Amino acid sequence: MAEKDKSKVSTQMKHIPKDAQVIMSIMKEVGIAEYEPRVVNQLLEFTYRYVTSVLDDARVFANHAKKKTIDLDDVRLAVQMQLDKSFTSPPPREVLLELARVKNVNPLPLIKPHCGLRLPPDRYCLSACNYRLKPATKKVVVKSSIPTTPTIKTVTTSKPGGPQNVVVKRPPGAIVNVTSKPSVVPKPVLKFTSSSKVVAKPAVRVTAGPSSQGPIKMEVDEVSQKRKREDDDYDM
Amino acid sequence: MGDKSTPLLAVLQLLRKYDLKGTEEILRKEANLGDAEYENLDLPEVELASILTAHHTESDPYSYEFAYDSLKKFVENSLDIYKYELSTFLYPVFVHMYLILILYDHNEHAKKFMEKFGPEQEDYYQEDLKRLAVVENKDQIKGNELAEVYNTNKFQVQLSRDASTQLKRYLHEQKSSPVIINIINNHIQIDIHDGPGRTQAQVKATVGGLLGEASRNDNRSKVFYGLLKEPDIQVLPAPIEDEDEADETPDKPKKKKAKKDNIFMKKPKSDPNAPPNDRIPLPELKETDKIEKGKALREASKRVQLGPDSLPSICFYTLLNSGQTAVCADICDDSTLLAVGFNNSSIKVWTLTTVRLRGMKSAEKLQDIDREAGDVLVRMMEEKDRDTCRTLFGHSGPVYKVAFDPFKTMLLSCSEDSTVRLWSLQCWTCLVVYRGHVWPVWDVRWSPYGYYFASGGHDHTARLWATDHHQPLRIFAGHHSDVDCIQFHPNSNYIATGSSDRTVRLWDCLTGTQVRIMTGHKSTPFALAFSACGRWLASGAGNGEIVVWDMSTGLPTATLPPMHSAPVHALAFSRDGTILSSGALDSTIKLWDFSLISDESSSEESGMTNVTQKEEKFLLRSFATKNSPIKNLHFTRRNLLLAVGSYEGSS
Repeated sequence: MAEKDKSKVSTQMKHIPKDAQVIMSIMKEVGIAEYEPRVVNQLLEFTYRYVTSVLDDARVFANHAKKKTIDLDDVRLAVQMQLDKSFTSPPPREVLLELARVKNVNPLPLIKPHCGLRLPPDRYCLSACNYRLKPATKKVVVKSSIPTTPTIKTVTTSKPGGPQNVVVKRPPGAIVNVTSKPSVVPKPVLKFTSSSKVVAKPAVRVTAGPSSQGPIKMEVDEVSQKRKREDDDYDM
Repeated sequence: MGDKSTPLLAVLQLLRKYDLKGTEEILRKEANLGDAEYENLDLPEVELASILTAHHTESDPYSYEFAYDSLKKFVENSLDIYKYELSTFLYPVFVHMYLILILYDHNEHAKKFMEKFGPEQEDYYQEDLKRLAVVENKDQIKGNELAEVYNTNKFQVQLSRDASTQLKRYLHEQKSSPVIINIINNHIQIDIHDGPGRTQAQVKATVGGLLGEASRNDNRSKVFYGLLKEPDIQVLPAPIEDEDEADETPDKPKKKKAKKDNIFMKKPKSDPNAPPNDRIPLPELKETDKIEKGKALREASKRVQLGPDSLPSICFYTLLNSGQTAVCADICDDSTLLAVGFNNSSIKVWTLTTVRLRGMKSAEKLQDIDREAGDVLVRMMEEKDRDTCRTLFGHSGPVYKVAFDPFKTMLLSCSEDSTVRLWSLQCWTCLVVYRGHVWPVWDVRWSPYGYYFASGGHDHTARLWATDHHQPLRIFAGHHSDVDCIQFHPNSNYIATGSSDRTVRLWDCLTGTQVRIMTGHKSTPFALAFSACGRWLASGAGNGEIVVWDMSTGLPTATLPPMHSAPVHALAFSRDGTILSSGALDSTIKLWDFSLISDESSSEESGMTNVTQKEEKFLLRSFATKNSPIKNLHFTRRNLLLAVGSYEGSS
């Protein structure tokens, strides 16, 4: 029975492409005896992807160095870059020991009494309310009237005899106001007062949109729980 | 070894010959040779040549094989009292010879060397040798983690004084093996201890670490392994009674019968081995926590006394349809909630009682409740939002460990995405993401008093965090490989970590330094558990062996015979510390008589007499499940053993 399996396997081996056979021999060398057959395919894919990306990078480096063909050094550099990007390993022990030494010098901080849930400052928590941006559906009509053009007063002065000239004269001292008042979007100021218990109002955060577009609508998800805010005030 | 100055003098002469005055000056200064020897530099050419080539013989490949072979023969022929200690020497010498051969570009010789002597090394080193054998030329040394570890750190060997003199005599006689002497000088640390040579059993107990055995110096500092003095919670049999009469000493109410008083009879006198209560800042108990604790003590009073003749009952929770997906499980302290972490990065929390899991009311509704009411904690929760199971989403990688805090308000989880997340069990959302480890985090545990938690990961470090700091408070660095498991001591002052370098280390939370290093595991420890009294630590490893360590000395008290045939992933002590339960991936739970194990240690003085007889008495019972590897073991407050595993089906 075992021999039958073995001969079956060896005939199957002949049908397997050479690359897959290479992968299987690598796994055997490393000591992996049992694996699903799809693992070989996955490793093959990975190999192709890795090798092509390394060679691509090497080609870029060779071009940069104005070389016609890829050199061993280019490939080496490409491998190094790839290694630094994806296959990093933990820092060496000395670095960690040094880091630990620096960190462990600080005494353990004292614990504040009567705190409710002890959480880090708000910006490190996920306790902010959720919000979603939604574009406004129609353009907002500008409220204030804008004098668009300066008024020109036509003054005709009649002169005795002679051809009549129409003189357009701007009254001196007339101040032409061309400023367009932008629409003012009300900016609510929200302040959270710290309460003794755990409850706070649901927060509505509104950002003022650029005036040309008009106000952007905000939809706010009701937040279920807010804890006492000790550190942060929200001020817009 | 040898005359260090002569080769240096030879080099100086060489430099003078080539007229490199600047280099000569620098070498003279660095080597502190002084001007006195300036004039005497007149070695004959022949001697000069021979000295310089002596360094070259290091790279003569044939000498290595010969040297190793003769060392092996010497060890085998030495007296029994020295043989076992000296045999621990062979592995480091072998490894470094291999590395040196590769370094000097004798790759084929190195390969032959590995093939000839590799399989003769001990079993527990075979894995390491496989990883090392991948290194086949000089350039690959840098990339290989194990080779780097061996190159940068010294291998520890413990020898008795007599054995070391034997070794020295042998090395002196063998003039032709400067290689071994060089290796010893550069790469091996010999720790000499007075006393007789150790027996095979003794050597076997402590050998196995990646870098050899722990030296005695490492285990000298004092460890406070006692328990903290508990703050008194006046526990009354009937809750109606006034809870305000709290005394300073844990006085038992006189109504209780004598039998049930055992747990309340905590020693009023202070334990010399216990740390002072304020050694590390611990959170004071809030009102809710005091209620929880009171409940805990009340339940503890009703617990079943366990022993060799009264084994615990086991209740097994089987997770179905999750053989490939469920990774870890945890049960909260009062045994009402079960959390399971999955490899699709979700976490599910189930209730194990009829009480359903409720969510908190929305903020508007919370405005309306009466905060001064006695049952505000119940009113806080939304009646309509109840369920038996809740799912928590947030991680982006398989969740490797989940842990309930001692007060059942929060859940911690760690994952392959290198974050540790804190979840609220009242809002059922994620509260904080703790970032620090850049690689997968393998284990996370709460301190027994809450507030602190520790995590260990792939980056070879363990970290101590507090829930209100976004950065770790302490970094415990020192392991040579990933930190696979981590556990707090019951007094919260120490943390034990087990790592793939096959050592278990104990760290002090106050200073962040390592106070104990324990070697002896022949495979990676995956589970750690402290005994109820805090003096012993049990660790379960990948080859199924369980070792019990004594925290006062750092030496193994007992190595339980490897009854498990698969890695042990769950260890739990009963609440009174008499039974140790172990669960492994071979789908069995075994119960061990821990009172016998700990009695052994306190009564025995040195050496292990009649070990095999006693060993058979350690194992009390073994329970096999159909096909469910055990993920977690938990003793309830009443000493019922709960186990969690997922049914793997027939595969």
